[in-house]
Amino acid sequence: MANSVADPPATSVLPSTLHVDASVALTSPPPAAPESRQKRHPIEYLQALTPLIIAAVGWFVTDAVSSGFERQRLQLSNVSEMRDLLLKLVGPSVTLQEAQAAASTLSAFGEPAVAPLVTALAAADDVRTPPIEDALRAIGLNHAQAVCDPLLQILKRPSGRFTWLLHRSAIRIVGDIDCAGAPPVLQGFKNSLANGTLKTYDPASDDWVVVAPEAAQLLNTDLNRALAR
Amino acid sequence: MVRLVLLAAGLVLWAAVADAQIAPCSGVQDPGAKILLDEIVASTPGAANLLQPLASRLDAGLLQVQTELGIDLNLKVLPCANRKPTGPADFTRPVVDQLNVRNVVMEVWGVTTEIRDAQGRPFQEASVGYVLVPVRLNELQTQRAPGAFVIPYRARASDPAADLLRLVDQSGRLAAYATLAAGTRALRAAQDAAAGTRPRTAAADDWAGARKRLCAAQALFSSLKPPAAPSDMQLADYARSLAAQTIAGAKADQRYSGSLKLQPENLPCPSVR
Repeated sequence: MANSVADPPATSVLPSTLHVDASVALTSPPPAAPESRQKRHPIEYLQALTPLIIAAVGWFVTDAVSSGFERQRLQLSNVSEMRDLLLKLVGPSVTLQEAQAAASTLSAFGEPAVAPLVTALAAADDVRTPPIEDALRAIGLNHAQAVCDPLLQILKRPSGRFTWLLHRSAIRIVGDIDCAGAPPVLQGFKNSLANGTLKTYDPASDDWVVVAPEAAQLLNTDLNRALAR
Repeated sequence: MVRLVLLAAGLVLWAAVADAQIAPCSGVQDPGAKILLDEIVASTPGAANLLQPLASRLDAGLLQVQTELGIDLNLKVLPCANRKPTGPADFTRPVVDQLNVRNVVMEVWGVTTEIRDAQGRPFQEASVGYVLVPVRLNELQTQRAPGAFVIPYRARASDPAADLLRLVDQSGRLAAYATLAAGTRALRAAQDAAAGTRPRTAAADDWAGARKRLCAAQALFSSLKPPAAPSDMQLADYARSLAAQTIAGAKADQRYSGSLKLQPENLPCPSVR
C-alpha cells in the first residue's frame, strides 16, 4: 500500500488544500470451516425444555389429583344426598306422590343412582315400581349403558334371586331405552319362557318356581313389545 | 343442564299427582287374588278402627256368595291402613297395571262425614269409591263400562260403626263388584289361552268358569236394592255382554271341546235367585 503526502512547506502556515493519495482495499473474512461449528448435547436441549416439562407434568398431576379428589367428594356428596331420597322411597309410609318425587330427583344424579334404584326395584311394590321404572328410563336416556348393563345381567341370569316382577320391569326398561345387545338376551329369555324351562325366584318359598301362566303371559306381552322396537 | 331438565320434569310430575295418597299396602305382593280395602277416612271418632271389622264383613259376604252361587272366587281381603286414594283419577294405567300384575281384582276406599239436615238430625254421608281392576283396564283401552267410580250414600246416624259398615257394603254391592271383577279376569285368561299367548290350564274349563262368574255377577246386580246407581246398571249390562262373549269365544276356540261349544250364542244366564 503506497501513501504519499506532499511535504509541508517550511512555513508554519497550513496550505489551503491537502491532497491525499491513498487506496483502500475492502476484503471479507474467509468462511468458517464446518468443523469449527460447536455441537450441542441433547442434555442441553432437555435442560432448556425442563421448565416447560415440569410445568406440564405439574399441571397434569395437579389436575388429575384434584379431579380425583373432586370426584371422590362428589361421590360422597351423592351418597349422602341420595341416602335421604332412598330412605323416603323405600320407607314404609311413602305415598305415590312422594315416591314419584323421590325417584325423579334420584334420576338427576345420573349413573351413581342406577345401582340403588335397581336394588330398590327388586323389592318394589305397586306404589314404588312405576316411579322407579320412570327414573331408570330417565337416566337411560343419557347413560344408556349404565342402566342397560345391570338389567341385562338380571335377565341373563334367571337363577339369581330375582322375581318375575323384577324381570318384567327389566324387560320394559331395556325395551324402552333400546339397549345395545338387548335382542339376543330378550330372545333367550323368551325362548326359555316358551319352552317352560324358565324358573324365577319366589321370595315366599325362597325357591325358584316355574312361572305361573298369568305371569308368563304378562312377561310374553312385554317381551314382544321390547323385541318389536 | 340435563339435571335441570330432569328436575323440572320431576317437579311437573310431582305437581300433577300432588293430591294422590296411594300408599303401600302390606300383603299386596302375596300370591293369590285379592281385594284391597283401603282406610275409610271418617270424621267420626273411633272410625279408624273399623277397617278390620269391615274386612271381616266383606270376607263373610264373599263366602256367602260362593256358597250360594257355587263358585270359587278364592279372593283374599287385605285391609290397607293409610292408603287413601282421592278418586278414580288416581287409578291411571301404570297404577292399575301394577295392581293387575299383583293379582288385585278390586280396591275399595271411602270418605265419610257426619252432617245434619235442615231439622238438625244427624246423617252419615259417605262417598265410597270402587275400582274393579280388570274392568278398569278394559275401560282405559275401550272406554266401555266404568271400572273406577264413586257412589255417594246417606244414612241416618244411629250407631256410627254399624252405619259405616252399612254404607260401605251397600246391600252386598261389594260382592257383586268382586264377582264381576273375577269373571272379567277369568274371561281375559280364557281369551289369552285361546289366542295362545298364555298356557292353557288342562284341568279347568276356562270358558265355563268365566261364564259362571259373570252370570253370578249379573244375578247379584239384579238383586241389588233400588235405586240402582247408574254405574251399577252399566256394570250389569257389561256382565251380560261378557257372559255372551264366553259362548262366542268357546265356539271360536279350535282347541276347546267343553259344554259351551254346543250352546247357542244368545243363551241367557240362568236365573239364580
